[in-house]
Amino acid sequence: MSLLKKILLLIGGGSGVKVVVVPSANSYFNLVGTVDLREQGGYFNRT
Amino acid sequence: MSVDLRFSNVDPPAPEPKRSIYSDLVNLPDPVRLGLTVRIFNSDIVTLWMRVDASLAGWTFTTFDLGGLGAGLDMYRNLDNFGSRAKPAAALSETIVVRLRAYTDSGYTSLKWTVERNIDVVFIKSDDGSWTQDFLDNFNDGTVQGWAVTAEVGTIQIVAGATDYFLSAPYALRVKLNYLANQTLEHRGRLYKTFATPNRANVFAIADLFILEYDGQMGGKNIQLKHGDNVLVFIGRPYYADNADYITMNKWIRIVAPLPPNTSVEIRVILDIYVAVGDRRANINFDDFRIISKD
Repeated sequence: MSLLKKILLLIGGGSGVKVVVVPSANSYFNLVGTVDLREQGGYFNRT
Repeated sequence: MSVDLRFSNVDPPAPEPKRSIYSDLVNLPDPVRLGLTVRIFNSDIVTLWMRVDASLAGWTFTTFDLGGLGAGLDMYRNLDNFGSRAKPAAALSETIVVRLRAYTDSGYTSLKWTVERNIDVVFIKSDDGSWTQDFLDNFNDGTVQGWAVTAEVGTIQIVAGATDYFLSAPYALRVKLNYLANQTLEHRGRLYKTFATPNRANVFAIADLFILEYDGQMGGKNIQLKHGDNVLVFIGRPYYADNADYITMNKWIRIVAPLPPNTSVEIRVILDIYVAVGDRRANINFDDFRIISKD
């Protein structure tokens, strides 16, 4: 392994994304689409 | 600077600390759709018309024309479906450049101020093997699993075993605001539970919820995720007595926020609504709440 790669791995904490924790923004993600909830697989309507 | 754009409830003149947008990719749809509540300040001496958009390769953003804002005033706006992108296959961090432009005319032609702020979007993939799931409350046993409610204003009720909208079968937890269904004006209710967070470098709360609005003649004002009195995420605007909705209603949303490690935290989910006609109600359906961590 090259020295550069070793350094990059050390900086990055290995593979994957390093999570740098800062406060959250006032944000959210939509869990399902807006057209037809049932076809998006986000929930099951029993009624 | 005579206009300002903020992503939290930190008031000027205090500088707003760096903010990040978090989400967990597990069970997000493809494409992923981001909603963002911004707070805009007009410190100029004239009314300004505010326009917000953003840019990042691979994303599509909506341009929001937010209308006029008087001199010395500020406003909250919830930008639903502000941005979308193809769902990443693995954990990913990106930086969105959010731009506020302020115009002196309602036609948005005479540009006076431009503010750009970078904000990091951090996609976690909680099933990639690096995370521990410390708590999962899926309410599938038909109980409230230790959650409770209190009315901050108005009336509130907690109901186990909701079967109309849920994420994991067969049940979600349900909270009803104005459950007595005879009281107008404000109802602000709190759903809460205390957790002992693990002693690890990264601890996150993942809250999935669905705000159900009954009919019209009421308005959703804000939804908040807190630990204790600390606001982690504030969606919408402070209470105001009108029928307009300032939060996204009638669909599942996911709010993710970091938690302090190695401590006792009271997680609170707050919903604040205005009711114009007594029998109007709003519910929170709440399912698959998780706390995850890793070193």
